[in-house]
Parts: sequence; C-alpha cells; structure tokens
Amino acid sequence: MTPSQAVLAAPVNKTKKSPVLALVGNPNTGKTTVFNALCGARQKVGNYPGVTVEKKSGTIKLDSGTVELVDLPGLYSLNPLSPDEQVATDGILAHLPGMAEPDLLIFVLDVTNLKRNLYLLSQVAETGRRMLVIATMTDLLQSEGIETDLQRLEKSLALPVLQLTGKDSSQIDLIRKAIATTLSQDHQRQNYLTYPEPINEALLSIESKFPDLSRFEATTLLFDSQKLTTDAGTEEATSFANQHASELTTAGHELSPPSLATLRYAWAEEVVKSCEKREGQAQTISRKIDRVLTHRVFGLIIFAAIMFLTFQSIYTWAVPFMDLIEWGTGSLSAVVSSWLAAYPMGQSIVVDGMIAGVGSVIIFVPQIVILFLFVAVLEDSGYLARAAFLMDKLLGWTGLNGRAFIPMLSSFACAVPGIMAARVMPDPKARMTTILVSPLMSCSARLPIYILFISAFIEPQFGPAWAAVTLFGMHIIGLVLALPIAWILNRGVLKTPDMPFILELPAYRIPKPFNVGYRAFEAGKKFTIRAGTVIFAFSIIIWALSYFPRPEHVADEVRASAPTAEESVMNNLIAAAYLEQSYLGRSGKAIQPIFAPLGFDWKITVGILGAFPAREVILSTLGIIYQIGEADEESADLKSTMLAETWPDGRPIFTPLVAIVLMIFFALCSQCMSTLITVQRELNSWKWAAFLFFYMTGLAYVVSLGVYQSGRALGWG
Amino acid sequence: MTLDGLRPGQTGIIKRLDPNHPSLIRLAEMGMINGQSVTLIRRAPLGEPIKVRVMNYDLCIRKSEARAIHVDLIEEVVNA
Ligand SMILES: Nc1nc2c(ncn2[C@@H]2O[C@H](COP(=O)(O)OP(=O)(O)OP(=O)(O)O)[C@@H](O)[C@H]2O)c(=O)[nH]1
Ligand SMILES: [Mg+2]
Repeated sequence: MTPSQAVLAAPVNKTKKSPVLALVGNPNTGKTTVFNALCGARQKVGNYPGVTVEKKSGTIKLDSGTVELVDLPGLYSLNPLSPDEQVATDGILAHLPGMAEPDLLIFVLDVTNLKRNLYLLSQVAETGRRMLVIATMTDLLQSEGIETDLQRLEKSLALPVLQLTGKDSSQIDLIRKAIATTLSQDHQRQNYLTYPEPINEALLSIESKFPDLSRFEATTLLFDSQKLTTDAGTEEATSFANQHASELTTAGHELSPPSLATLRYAWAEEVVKSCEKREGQAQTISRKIDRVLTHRVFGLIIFAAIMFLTFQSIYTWAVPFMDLIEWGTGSLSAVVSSWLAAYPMGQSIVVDGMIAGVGSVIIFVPQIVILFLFVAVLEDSGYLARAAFLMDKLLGWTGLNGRAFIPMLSSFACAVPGIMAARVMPDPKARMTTILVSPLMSCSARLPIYILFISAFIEPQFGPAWAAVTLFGMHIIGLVLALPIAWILNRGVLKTPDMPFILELPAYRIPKPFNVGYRAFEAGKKFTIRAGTVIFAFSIIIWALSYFPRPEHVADEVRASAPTAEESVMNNLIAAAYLEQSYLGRSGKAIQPIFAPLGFDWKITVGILGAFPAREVILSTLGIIYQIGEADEESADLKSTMLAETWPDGRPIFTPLVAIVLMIFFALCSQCMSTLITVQRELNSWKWAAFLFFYMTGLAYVVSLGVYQSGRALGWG
Repeated sequence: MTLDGLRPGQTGIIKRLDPNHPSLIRLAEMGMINGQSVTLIRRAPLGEPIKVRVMNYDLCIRKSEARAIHVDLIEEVVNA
C-alpha cells in the first residue's frame, strides 16, 4: 500500500470484543520495554532504531477485564519512508491486516529527546484517536543535565502523562488505572498547532465540508498537494483542498510539507519551553566514547578488533564447557552401550543414532551462548548504529548504505531476524538486495562447524593464533563477498535508485545485564531444543539410512576375506562394510564425484547433503558416521576419528586444506530452510527464495573449488 | 554555505533547504528546519557520512543530504 492510500482508506475492522491498545512513538524510545513491563512479555529490545519491525501482541489485565496491547515498530512521522514505519503508520490508522482499530494509543515519549518526539505526537494527536503518554528515560534526565516538569507537560498536552522506568510496579499500577480511566471517558480531540489565520480558515472549511476527515488528513490534503490524489473516494476532498491551497499560495502563504514541519516544531518548541530546562551539552559521555570508537583513523580498526576479539573469546572461553559436555556424552554412551549390549540394533539406534547425533550438536551450546552475549552487548550498548556509521562509505559503492549494515550484522547471530530487520531499508529494491545478501553473513549455526574443524585440524598444527585468524576469516568471507554481490544486484539486476542515509545515533547506554543474559540464555535454550527435536529427528533418519539394508552376506564376506583379524578389528571392518553398502553410503558414493574436485570423500558428501535443511545436521551426520564401528570400544571422540580417516591409498582425508575448504563451503552455502521460508514471506516470492538458494550454493561450490585447486597447486595437501 | 562545508565543531543556523532534494520532507521532519542550529560533530573515517547534532540529538547523514542544508556559520565550538 502506498502511503497516500494508507491515509484515507477505510478502516479494516470495527467489530471487536476487548479494547485494543497500541504502542506508538519514535524508534528506540522504549516501546518494547514498556510492552514487556505491561504484558510480562520478553520481546527483543536493543539500543538502536529499528529493533521492532513487525507488530507483536500481548494482553494487560485491568480490573475491568483484559485489553490487548500491540507493540508497533517505531516511526519518525506518519509519512512513512520504510516498511517498518509503514507497519506502524498502518497500525495507527487502522489499516494493518490482522490488527483491529486501536481504541487507545499509548504514546511512548523519550524525555531526553522531547522536541523531536513531540513532532510525531502532534501528528498522531491529529488522527483523532484517544491517547495517553508514557514518559521513558526519566532516569537519564539528571545525568544529562535536563530538568523536565511532567505535570506541566501534561497540562500543555492536555493528555495523561505517566512514567515508566524499568518494571516499577507502582508505576505500572498507575498506568493500568490511567488506561482504564481513559478508555471509559469520552475523548477530546486535540488540535495543538496554531496556523496563520487564512490557513486555519481553510482547514475549518475543509473539515466542515468533509466531516469524516481527521485533522491529520485535512492538513495533509492542504499542505501536500502531491499526496492523496490517487484515492478515488476522496477526489472531491482533494480538489476542494487544492482549490484552497492554490488561493492561499497566491496570497503568499507557503504550503509545503516542510512548512508544516516548521509549524509543528514551533508548537513543540513552545511545549518544551513550558516544561524543560537544559544545562550544558547533551550526551557528553556518548560524545567522548564516540571520539574514540568512531575516530577518523582508528574507528574502522577498532571495529575490526572488536569483531576479532569476539570470535577469539568465543573460541577460547568455550573450551572448558565443551570438554565437560563431551565428557558427559561420552560417559553416557559408554553406560548405555553396556546396558544395551544384548540388543545390537537397539544399541546402535541409541548410541550411534541418538547420543552421537544429538551429542555432537549439543556440545556447541557454550559457543552459541557466548556469541549471543557479545551480540546483545553490541546491540544494547548503542555501538550497532556506530557500526552503520563507520561502514556506510564501504557499502556505498554497492548501492546500499550504512542502514543495511544493521540487518547484516544481526545476521551474524541468525539470518531470520536479519532478513526481517531489512524492513528498515527505505527503498524496496535496496531492501531486496539487503535480504538477499544477509544470509551470506556467518550465522551462529555455522559456528559449531568452524569450531569442530578448527580445533581438529588447524589448532593442533598451527597453534591458537591461527585458529583465531581462521575463525575470523570464516566470518569475514561472507561479508566481503556480499559487497560485490550487492553491487551486481543493485546496479545490474534491480537498478536500485540512490537512497538517502539518515540514521539517528542513540546515546550509549550501559547494557542491561538482564537483557543481555536473557538473550544469551534464550539462544542457548533454542539451540538445545532444536538439537532435541529437529536435529534428533534427522539423527534418527540418518542413522536408519546408515544402518539399512543389512544383509548377512556382507559380514560373512568380511570374515572370509580377513579370517585372522582380531575380534575388535573384525567388528570395525564389518561395520565399515555395512556402512559403505547402506543407503547412505550408496547415495554418498553416487554423488561424491560432484564434490571430488573439492577434495571431499563420500562421507563428507553425505554430511553436506544432510545439511541442506539445516546446516548443523552435518555435525550429527559426521557424529553418526564416525561413531559406527566404534560402538564396542570406549568411544573415541569425533575429532580423533576424523583425523584417522584415510583414502584407500592411505592419504588422510582431512588435511588442513580440506578442512578450510569445507568451512568455506559451509560459510557460503544456503543450508537453512527457515531462511528460505523467511525470504519467501518477506519478499512474497518463491522466485527470489529459489534465487537465493541457487546463487549461494553455486557461490559456495565455485569458491571452495577455487580454494582447493589453488591450494593443491601450491602444494598444501 | 551548506552544512557539508562546516568543520567539525562548527555550528550553523539553517537558512533554507534545497526544495528539490528527494529527502527534503524527512530532513525537515527530523528537525532540519529554518532557524534551527545544527552542529557538525564529526566525519566518518572515509570522510562520509557525517554526524551532526540538531535539537539535542545526533543524526548521521551523507554529504548529499548535508549539501541540501544551507546554513549561516555562527560560532566555533572548540569541544567537538
Ligand atoms: N535508561 C533507560 N533505558 C531505557 C528505558 N526504556 C528503555 N530503555 C532502553 O532503551 C533502549 C530501547 O528500548 P526498546 O524498548 O527496544 O525501544 P523501542 O521503542 O521498542 O525501539 P524500536 O523497536 O527500535 O522502535 C533499550 O536499550 C532499553 O533497554 C528507560 O526508561 N531508561
Ligand atoms: Mg521495539
């Protein structure tokens, strides 16, 4: 829907049971914090504009019954520029599919940024909806040298003004009461602005002729002749307003959106004067921090260093926890093995299938938790917006801008929220490009794969420094390749127009330990649940494919060919023979020629194939394949089993080069069903989702091939 | 002169905005209106974008936006 249609289209739904409330306000003012406090929810908050990009609902219990509260994305103006602002605008104007007309708007007002917040408030008030104001950030006033008199603000706005800091229960009680009171009262329309007399007369004349128009619609008609001309039902109102507008313009009055903005800010200035005193410069601490972090010379170096340290710490901090988990799964499979020794197939499904499959994924929970700790600190401190500031120029030549860097950085945690976050892009084509390159960022599901191969093949040979460099490299490669791809998409395919880059830089804040801890906890929990459900299911399927068929003669042939072998060796030989002729083994061998030029054997090939629905599955596949044949012994860990794998001629299968190539393949390949589904939903097109799949997979193949073949040519194994 | 012509730390008063700039409306809505003072705080490492302060908050814009904002230089603020 274009903004112009949004303003005048008919409300979607007027019949409803419980009242609907919506949170509105500028980005990053604390709407979601308020939502979480009032609804007892735990939606994501963060210190940058554009955290919330879709509507989220919750309920509040009042004495009179429950009401629905909808958290909306932030917006600077009811003239939306980007899809997230469009969602908020539609929510306010009751055009948002799936959301009823709001009975009350809760305007969340950041008191440290009063004037600009009041700009939006003046627009929202003119829509004629009931309103209530919640002032946030009041705890920061003192350190900012601001004194704000909220009672005077209440008087100037003629609206109830409440406060909320944190989860203060007495404040929440007051808010609940105020909501109940406001809902029960008739409401008074507020027209705050004072217009020059002839303009005022024109507005009144429009409104008396078309009483259904809100004040906001009437002013938009009068001040913005380029808008609102397309809607058929309002042609009459538009031409009537245009007539007034041309008369006023001839009489020397300026009627343009900026002149309306000037009038709104004149009002805001009056209100600010009535209730606020400021001493000294605002945000002095933030500025001092910025002097270092966005330094002209060191800014980008510091950015790279922060990234490097993040991955370095993920790698080193997690080791003790991993060892613990590994010891746990190892002992578990030893115990279970001996219990089930009498039932070979049962033993195999539990030990080789379930424990090996899920265990080889669970072991990476510590890394995921640590990664998310870092991500949450970056997001909650305010540094993310600075990263956008620093990277803008580097992205500029590709046709994107610094804004695109926020979705891209989010994708380092997970591409799904990253793709959603691309809604902040003002241009639809630029948004599409951002969506299509974000999955190239190395998400947390790739992390375990890197850790496995680095700790098995890089660190032992080259030491911890190179391990850290490799891990960093794997996270950078997708970002670096995303730039030329964005360039091709923007300049060659989509012909993206030049975009403005206007981004608010919020003040730095000390990350809230609860928010940070909760993000990390939640990520760890999600990953564990995934391992216990999706990965578990895949583990069983892969185990079954690796176990069947199981004709007797295979074992007999092995015994016949090596009659003198010791029993344990014999068992391993038999298991290996069964694996090779299993469904898994057969399909792996059939497809392996495609991956042979990359240096992969049929087992790795099987791992790659199994990983297309979800990339972590390679861990359980490898866990299962390499566990088979080890079942009778104290089970050796995955790493040492992989190290012992050889080609028929005795060369090791896993060299450092093969490990690197495999990691690069996983860094670039599209192996995530959720990502494809999200892209389809956001772009409303299977075509682009398919495009994403094929280009990423193709890119992964080509780059891996190039690296392997050049590596071989240089004699690196 | 335009906002882009300020040195870090310098403040100007907005005289007018380029009426043809594509982001004209949004710039005005973000507080870039006639008579407002605006300070150029710093430039990003590669010279662009720039960070400016208007209405007591910080905003980051590109040169192409800054060139649409015409200002009168008023004072030197040493402490950028
Ligand atoms: N000091 C302080 N910080 C707050 C307060 N309310 C929210 N915050 C912080 O402000 C930041 C923004 O909060 P959010 O709730 O994500 O803001 P939002 O309005 O939902 O933001 P968008 O979804 O991006 O529009 C977070 O870092 C919060 O922790 C407050 O009253 N005081
Ligand atoms: Mg939010």
